[in-house]
Formats: sequence, C-alpha cells, structure tokens
Amino acid sequence: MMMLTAQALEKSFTLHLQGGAKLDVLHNAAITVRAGECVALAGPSGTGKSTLLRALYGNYLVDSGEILIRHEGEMINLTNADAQTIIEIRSKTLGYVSQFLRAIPRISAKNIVAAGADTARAQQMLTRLGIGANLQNLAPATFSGGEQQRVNLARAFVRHWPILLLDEPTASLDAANRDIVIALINEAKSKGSAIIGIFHDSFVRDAVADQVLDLSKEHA
Amino acid sequence: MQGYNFAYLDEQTKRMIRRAILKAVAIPGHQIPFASREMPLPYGWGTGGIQVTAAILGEDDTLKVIDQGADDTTNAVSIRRFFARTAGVATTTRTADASIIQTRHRIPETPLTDSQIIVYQVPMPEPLYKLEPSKQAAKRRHALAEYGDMHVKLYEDIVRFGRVAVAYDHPVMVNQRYLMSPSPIPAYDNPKLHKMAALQLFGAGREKRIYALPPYTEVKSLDFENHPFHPVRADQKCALCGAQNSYLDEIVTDNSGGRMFACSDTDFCATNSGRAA
Amino acid sequence: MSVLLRARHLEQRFGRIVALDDVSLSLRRHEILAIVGESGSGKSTLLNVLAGFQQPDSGDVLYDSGDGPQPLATLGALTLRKLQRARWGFVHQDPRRALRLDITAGGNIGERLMAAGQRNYGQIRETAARWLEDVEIDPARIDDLPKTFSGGMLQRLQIAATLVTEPELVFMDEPTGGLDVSVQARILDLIRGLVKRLGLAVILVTHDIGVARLLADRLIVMRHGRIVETGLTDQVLDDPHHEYTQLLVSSVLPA
Repeated sequence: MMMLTAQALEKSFTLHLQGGAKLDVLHNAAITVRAGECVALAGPSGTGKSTLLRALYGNYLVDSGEILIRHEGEMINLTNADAQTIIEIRSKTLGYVSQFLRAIPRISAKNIVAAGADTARAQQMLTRLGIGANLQNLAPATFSGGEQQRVNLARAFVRHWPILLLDEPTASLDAANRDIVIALINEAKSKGSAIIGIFHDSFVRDAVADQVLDLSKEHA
Repeated sequence: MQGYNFAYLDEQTKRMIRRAILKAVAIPGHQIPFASREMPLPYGWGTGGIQVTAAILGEDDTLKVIDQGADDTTNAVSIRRFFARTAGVATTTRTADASIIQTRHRIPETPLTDSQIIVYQVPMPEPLYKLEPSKQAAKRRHALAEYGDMHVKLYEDIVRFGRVAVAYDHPVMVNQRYLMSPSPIPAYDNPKLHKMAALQLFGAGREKRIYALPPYTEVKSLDFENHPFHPVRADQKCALCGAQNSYLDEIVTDNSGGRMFACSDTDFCATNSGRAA
Repeated sequence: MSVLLRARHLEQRFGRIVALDDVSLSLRRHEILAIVGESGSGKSTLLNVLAGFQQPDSGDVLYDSGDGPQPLATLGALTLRKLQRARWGFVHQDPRRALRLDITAGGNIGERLMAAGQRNYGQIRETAARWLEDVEIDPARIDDLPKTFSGGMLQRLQIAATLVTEPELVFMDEPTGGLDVSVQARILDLIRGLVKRLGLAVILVTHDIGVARLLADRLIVMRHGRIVETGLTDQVLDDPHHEYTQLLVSSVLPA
C-alpha cells in the first residue's frame, strides 16, 4: 500500500542576508514509498537529501509540487495542509528522526522516550540501545553525542510509525549499536512502516533499503 | 427657633437629599453621592446622619438619638437638642416610642418596627477603601461586582488569627449584589440588619454619600462556608439589668483593674431593669 | 478543533507610530501560538488588544466560547471582566505587577477562586497547596508573604495564581523575561507541562526564539506592526522566508 508519494517538488532558498543569493536545491524531485518498504536517499552532499526529507516532514516549505501522505485512511496533501493538520499527522502518522537530539532541559531520557509509549517499553527500548538504567533517569543534556542520538532513536522506535523519516540514524554510533538500529529498522518494516532514510554508511543502506533514490541523478 | 427653617436645612436641600434617598432605596447597598451641606458641627461628628434626619423629619415625628447605644452622651444630647430647637419635634429616649432613631455605631437591642426609620452616621461609606485607595477603581469594582479582594482579606485574617478578626464594620453583601459597609457597628449587630422591618438610611457627610436598606432586605455578612460569620459579645451578664444577650460595654471602675460590664444600649438596660424590678 | 479566538484586520496607531497594521490571526482550542518580534514590533499591543485590555482603532477580535463567535467589543464590560477573571488568564512579565505582595502565597492563589465565587475556606487552601506543589513551591510556604520569594518563585506563583481557575485561554507576555537563564529553563518546562496537562490554548509573546521553539505549535513574526511571516514553529525557524525572519533566526547566539 502506498503510504507517501511526492511529485514535482521544487525548493530553493533565497538568502536575503547574502544579498538575495538564491540556492536551488530541489528540482522536479519525486519519491514514493510503500508500507513495509525502505527507500534510501543517496547522492553527494549538496544534492538535497536532507532538504527533501525535511520537506516531507513539513519542516521545509516547498516552492511547488505536492506531497501526499496516507493519514488515517485518507490521502492528505501536506503542501497545502493547515498547521493543525500537520501537527496531527506528525503526532500519529509521520515520524522523524533528526541527526541530533533536541533535548528539553530537565526531562529524563526515560521520560523523553516514554512520551510516545509507556514507561516499561521506554526502558526496554533504551536498554536495547545501550542506555542503561542509571542513565535512563538522567536528562540527556550531559550525554555524549552518540548517547544522545540513541535516546533520539529510542524515542522514535518505541512506537509504531506508519511512515518514518530517518536522517543519518547511525552517524554517531559504533558498529554494535549500528547493528541494533538496522534490526530496529527491519522490525519496523516488517510491521508495515514505510521508511525513507539518509544513510551515509553503505553497509547500513544495503542492509535495510529496498530502493535507492539517487538525488544527484535527479538533479541533472 | 428664629431665622431657621424647620429642621435647619432649607426645603430645596431637603428635596435634594430626599432624591438621593429615593435612589438609595431603589438600589439597596449602592452608594449615592449627594451635595453635603455645611452643618453647624465639623465633619466626623455626624453631619451625614444629621442631614438625612433633617430631610425626613416631620412635625409629628418623635426623635431618639443615641451614640454608642447611649442617649446621655454629649453628642447624643447635643444632636437631640439641636432638632428639638430647630424643628420643635418631640424627643424620647425610649426606642419603642421613637419614629426616627439617629444612631452612631450601634443598633438598638429592641427590634424595630415597620413604622420606624433608623438613620446611621457613617464615617467611611466605602467598604473597599482599605484595599482599593482609588475611588474610581472602587466604583468600577462595585459596578462589576468585583469583590474577590474582600474575601481575600477575610482569608488572610483566618490564616493569621484563626478566625475573621473584623470586630466592627464587618462588610455585608446586600441583595447578593452590592458590598456595603454597615458603618462601625459591632459585628454583633450585623444580624439585625438582615430583613429588618424598619427602613435603614445611612449618611456620610464628609464623604458625601447616602445609601439605604429598604425594609426586609437580604443582608449577609461576608464569611466562608466552614468559617461562618459569628457575632461576638463579651461572655458576661449586664451588671445592671442581668441581660445575657445584649451587647455589653466594658467599664473600668477603679485604678486596680476593676471593671464591670453593662448594656451599651441604655434604654434597653433601663427597660430591662424596670421589668426585673 | 474549533477556533477560539480570531482577530480581523486590527489597526492601531499612537500618533505617528504604527503599532498594528492590518493584523489578522486565529487561535484554535489547545493550540499554542507564539508572537515573536523585537521591541517596537507591536507584539505587546497586539496581546493587550487580544486580551480585551485595549480597543483597536479598527478591526475586531472575536471569541467563541461554544455559542458562536462574538466580538469582544459587544460583550459589555461586566461580561468581559468575568471572562478575564476566570476563563482567561494573563501571565505578566513582571510577577510583582500581577501578585499582591502583602497577601500570603495562598491568598494570592485563592484570589481568583474567591473572585469566582469559591466560599469554602478549607477547599481554597487545599487547592492553593496543590497548585504550589504543581509549580514546585514548597506547600509549607502557603502562608508566607511573596516578599520573601525569589524572582523565579514569584513567577511560578503568578502562574499558579493564574491557572488555578483552569482557564481555557492564557495570554503570556514574556513569561521568562528578566529571569536568570537557569531559572528560565525551569519555568518554561513548567509551563510546557501545565499547558499540555490542562489542554490550554496559549498566546505567548516573546522576543526569545528559543522560548517559541520550545513551547509553540505555531509562530507569528511581527515587525513594525505587521505580520511578516507565519506558520508552524519549526518550519518558520528552520526555513525562514522573509528577510526579517532570516535576520532574527541568524541573530540567535549559539549556545
């Protein structure tokens, strides 16, 4: 079942503070992903992988084109949806794992993850990702980059997302944790999640992706 | 008395005051401004009460004047004599015989009837003045019925003293609408205001306000559900007449701490003793 | 989710100064909207107009409590005051303005309750104590005077005193302005938690983008009385389109 399809996406940035310099990033970009499938975005930096991912989340506004998302049985066009709708889609259907954890001060790792599920499952997920019980009750502000990213991942994978967007999920992880993330992604796929990810590590990409979308080719 | 109109004030002034009284009666508990006149005694001595009495006094009236419950204190005597001279009306010390009673800081113990009028002397008509020094702001509060402040003050009293500590001039809600100062009567007298059969008029000369409680008006002292209003009197009998339910004055009798308690309402005390004797 | 408050084409001038220039916005139930701008942008004026404390020169503000949208201007002073006292709340930047410093902490929290007709002394105290806990003030301080409280505690007390009537709409004017940074973080966290728990709709004015990012669903950027950009908070801050928004975002010093 098709979960997300985007067509004819155009995105450029106008940098007013640099004399109005215009940066064209996406041109006629398109992507489709089905339930249980993982599409990897590939291409050298500057080809718009992150931009596309953020646009699919509604974090960036595209200049034109449409992004259709299956939300609670209906296809909704994200590009002209109102704020309320996008917030709802993000809370129920569309998950996003950024490269860095944006930590809210004072909330423990356990509670950050438990926001999406119950405490017991939160603890399980954190433990699986190598965040032990002693760290779970602390706020992640003082964690290392890798530890923070694992909290970030735990928060996403603790619950089921019909569509999940991953931006460099294993960038700051060692091999062992990387393998755990691969397992998590494959488990999510088998439960029907449609996944779009940016994976710099080709090992990871080969282990999870069913399709690779090379944006540098699209750009040409 | 020569050179003076009946009851001292000219008829136009009386009309003006009566108009204010009519408005006051129409809106129970609400303060009506009036053009307070120069009276032959200074502000703070009952000029408001005197003007109200002067405006309603008629030839056939019988006037009683009390000060802190007594007919024989200097002020009560002076004011009674003032009206006797300028209006030639009959005066009395007996509550039951009076048609108009002017009072400072007490309500007579003897229940009043619907053919009587009681006029209170009021120093400060604005119940909010301690909490809200601005007159304009206070007016707005009355208009919008914003009285939360007053309850906060009572709350603070309970926190500090374990009970509401307002001994006199305990504010009341009139007709569930206006917050009113009953004048500095002891809190013990507050229940008498509620559904009194007589017309109650309040005059403040310095502050230039008149307000009123028509007969049988609902008057409720501010309190909390589980800290209900509790009228307080000294737990004593009157040394003169033996009464156990009248408001008592504490009188120092010598220099070694001796004291006695006697009814503050002199007429009530005398009547009571008379009966007992 | 239905629209709770709507402003249409608000205009306000003070002599030659343009405070509001064709400002329109809407707020839904449970939504948190941040108005961001520098001083002189008109954001405080906008908040005062939306909260009914000021009348605009033209345009109107409509409030829908469930019986259909009604212009604030037609509500009448009494109804508006009642609204402001119970169903709406206003958190001021300076808690000393909003609190009574000569009344105990419990009295301050109880004030809105008493104004709304609560007459049970015991319940008032219980409610006040609970709220002190909710804002992380030791409930044993319920009879203390706010004179003895720190700035952060005062602000938390103001929050408790405002939210005690569980309003459906809360206006906040720089709720953490003037506080130490560590204190700010705690209060923002508190606000976030309470807003979520009570399902409040909030209009929040701030010059601090970090505050907006943390608390708000949607963002309005104001400059010289005009709205220059609006949208989802993260979208406006991560993908700013207007020149002024780009300037604001780039001016934030990195931690």
